[in-house]
Amino acid sequence: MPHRAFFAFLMPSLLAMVLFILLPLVSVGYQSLFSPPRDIEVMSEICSTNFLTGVRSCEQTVAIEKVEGPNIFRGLDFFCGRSVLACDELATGWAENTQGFGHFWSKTVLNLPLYKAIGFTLFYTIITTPFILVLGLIVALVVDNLWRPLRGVTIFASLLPFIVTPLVGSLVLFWMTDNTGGLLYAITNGLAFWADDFSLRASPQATWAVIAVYGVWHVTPFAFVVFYAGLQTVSQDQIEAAMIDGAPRIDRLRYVILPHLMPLITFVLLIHIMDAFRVLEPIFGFQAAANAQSVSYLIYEHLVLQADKRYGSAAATSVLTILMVFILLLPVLIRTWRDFRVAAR
Amino acid sequence: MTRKHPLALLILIYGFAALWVVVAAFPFIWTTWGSLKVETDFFGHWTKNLSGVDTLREFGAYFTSLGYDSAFSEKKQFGQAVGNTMIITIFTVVISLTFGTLGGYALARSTARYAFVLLIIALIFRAMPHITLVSGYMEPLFSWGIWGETWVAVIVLVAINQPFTIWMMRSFFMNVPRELDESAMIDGCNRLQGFWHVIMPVMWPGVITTGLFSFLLAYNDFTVTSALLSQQNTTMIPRIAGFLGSAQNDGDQMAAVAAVVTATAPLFVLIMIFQRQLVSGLTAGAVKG
Repeated sequence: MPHRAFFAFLMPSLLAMVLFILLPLVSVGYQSLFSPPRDIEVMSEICSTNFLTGVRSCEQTVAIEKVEGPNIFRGLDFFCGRSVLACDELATGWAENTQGFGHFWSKTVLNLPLYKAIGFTLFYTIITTPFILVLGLIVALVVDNLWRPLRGVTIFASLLPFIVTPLVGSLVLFWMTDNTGGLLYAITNGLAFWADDFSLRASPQATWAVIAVYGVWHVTPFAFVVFYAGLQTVSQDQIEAAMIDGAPRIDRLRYVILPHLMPLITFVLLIHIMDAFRVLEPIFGFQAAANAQSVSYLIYEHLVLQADKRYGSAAATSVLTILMVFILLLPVLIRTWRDFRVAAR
Repeated sequence: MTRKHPLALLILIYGFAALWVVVAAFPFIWTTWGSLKVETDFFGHWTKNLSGVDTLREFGAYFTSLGYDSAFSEKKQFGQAVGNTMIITIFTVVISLTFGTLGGYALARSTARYAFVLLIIALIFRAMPHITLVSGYMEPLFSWGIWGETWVAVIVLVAINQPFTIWMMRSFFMNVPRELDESAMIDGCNRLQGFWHVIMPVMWPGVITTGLFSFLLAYNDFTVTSALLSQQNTTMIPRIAGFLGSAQNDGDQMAAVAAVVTATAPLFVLIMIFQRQLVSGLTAGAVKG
C-alpha cells in the first residue's frame, strides 16, 4: 500500500490517538514532575476589644494566599510522596526498625498506600489466576461434550458475568452477601462450620476473598470462551491416533489437548494480569475501600474523590503503573514484533 | 463427531454444566426478581426475597415498582442518565467504527515497517489502564472550561478505544484476500472506491463484531465517564455509583437495585441476539495471535 494512501486511511484514527492518548500521556508525565506554585499560608493577627470589659485580645488566624506563577519543577517530590513511593517513610521506618526485615516489611512497607495497593493487586492476580484457568478449562471441556442444543443456553449464561459492567456484577454479588440473611451469606455460613457467624463483610481478609471470588466469577467466562474456541481446532486425527493407541482420557487431555491450548492459556494469563491493574469498580461495588485498594483506585482517589485534586500524586502513580504494565507486556511486545518480521519477509 | 462416555462421566459433565449455569446466571435472576420487592424483603433474610411478605403487606401484591419509581423520580433522575448513555454510546460506536475501519484496513494492507511500529504502540496503549490517562485529561479540560461536556467524553472514549478497534478490524481485514483489492483496482476503482464497493460488502460481519465490543467499552465505562462528566451529563454506571453513596442516607437502596437491573437489561438482549459474534470477537485476538 502506498505511503500516502496508508496515512490517508489511518489519519482519523492516528489523530485521535495522538491527541487523546499520546498528548495526555505527555501531560501525565509533565504533571508528575511539575506543578503550579503551592498556595502559601499567611499568619495574621486579628485583635479586638471586648465591649464590656474593655480588655483587648488578639488571636492568630491562618489565611491562604494564592500564588500565581509558572509551574515549578518538583524533581522526584511527587514520586517520593507518602501516597506514592514514600521514600522518607521507608527511610525512617528502616532506620527505626530493630526487629529484622520481616518486621519492617509488615509494619512499614505494607502500611503505605501504594505498596498496599500493589500487594492487593499481586494477591488478586496470584489467587484468581489458577482458578480462572482451571475452571475455564473445565467449563470449556464440559460444554464441548454437551448435547449440541444445550450449548447455546450454557454459553449465554456463561457470558453474563463477563459482559455485564463490573460495577453491576460486583453489586449483584455484594447484595447477596448481606449479613442480615443474604443468600450467599446463608450459604457460606452453612459451609463455615467452624464459625458461629461467618460474615463476608467483617474483616479485611473476608473482603479480599470476596473480591477474589468476584474476579474468578467475572473472568472465568472469558477463559472459557477462548479455550472453547481452541478446543474446536484440536486435530481430530491426533485424538483418534491417541485413542487407537489406547490412551485414556486423562492422557489425551494431557498430551494432546493441553499442548494445543498452551498459547491460549498464555494469552488469557497475560490479559488477566494486565486487567488486575484496572480493578476499580469492584472496590466501590463491595464497599471495600477501607480494606482493599487497587492501584487504579489510588489514582481515582487522588483525582475524583478528593475535593482538592492531587494531580502530582495521581500523575506519579500513573507513570509507575504504566511502567509496571509495560514491563509485564515486554515479552509479548518482543514476540509480536518478531512475528511481524517473519510475516513481512 | 460422536464421543462415547461412561455414564458416571456423563452425570459429572451435565451436573457441572448445570452448576456453572446457576453460578453464572442466578445472581442476575435473583436481583431482577428482588428489584420488584420492598427493601426489607430484598435486603432481609433470603426467604423473604422469595416470598415477598413485606411487599405483600405494604402493597397487597407480590411485586411493586417502588424501586423503579424512585430511581426514575425527579430527584434521582435515572432516566436522564439512560438518555445520556444512549447518546454517548451511539456516537462513540459510530465514530469508533468509522475511524477504526479505515485505520484497520490501512494497517492490514501495509507491509511497511512503520505500520508495525504503530501497531506495537497501539498494543501498549491498549494495555494501559484507562485511569492512568485521566489526570492528563482533567487538568487541560478544566483550564479550557470544557470539563463535563458530553462531546468531550465521546471524543475521549473514541480515542481510548481506537487501539482495540484498529487491532480487531485489522485482524478481520487480514482474512479478506489482497487479490480482492487488486482486482478492484485493475477494474478501474481507486483505493477508496475499491475499499467501499468491494471490500466493505464482505466486511460487515467484522464491523458488527467490532461494533459490539465498542458498544460494550462505551456502555460499561466507569473510569472516563465518572471522571470527565458533570452530574447532569453523567451516564448510568457513574450514576449508580452515586446512588450507593446516598442510598444509606436516604434509606432508599431499592433505587440502586432498580437502576442496576435497568442497566443490565440491554446487555441481556445484546447477548441473546449477538452471542455468536461476541464469541467470535473474544477469540479473534486469541486464536489468530
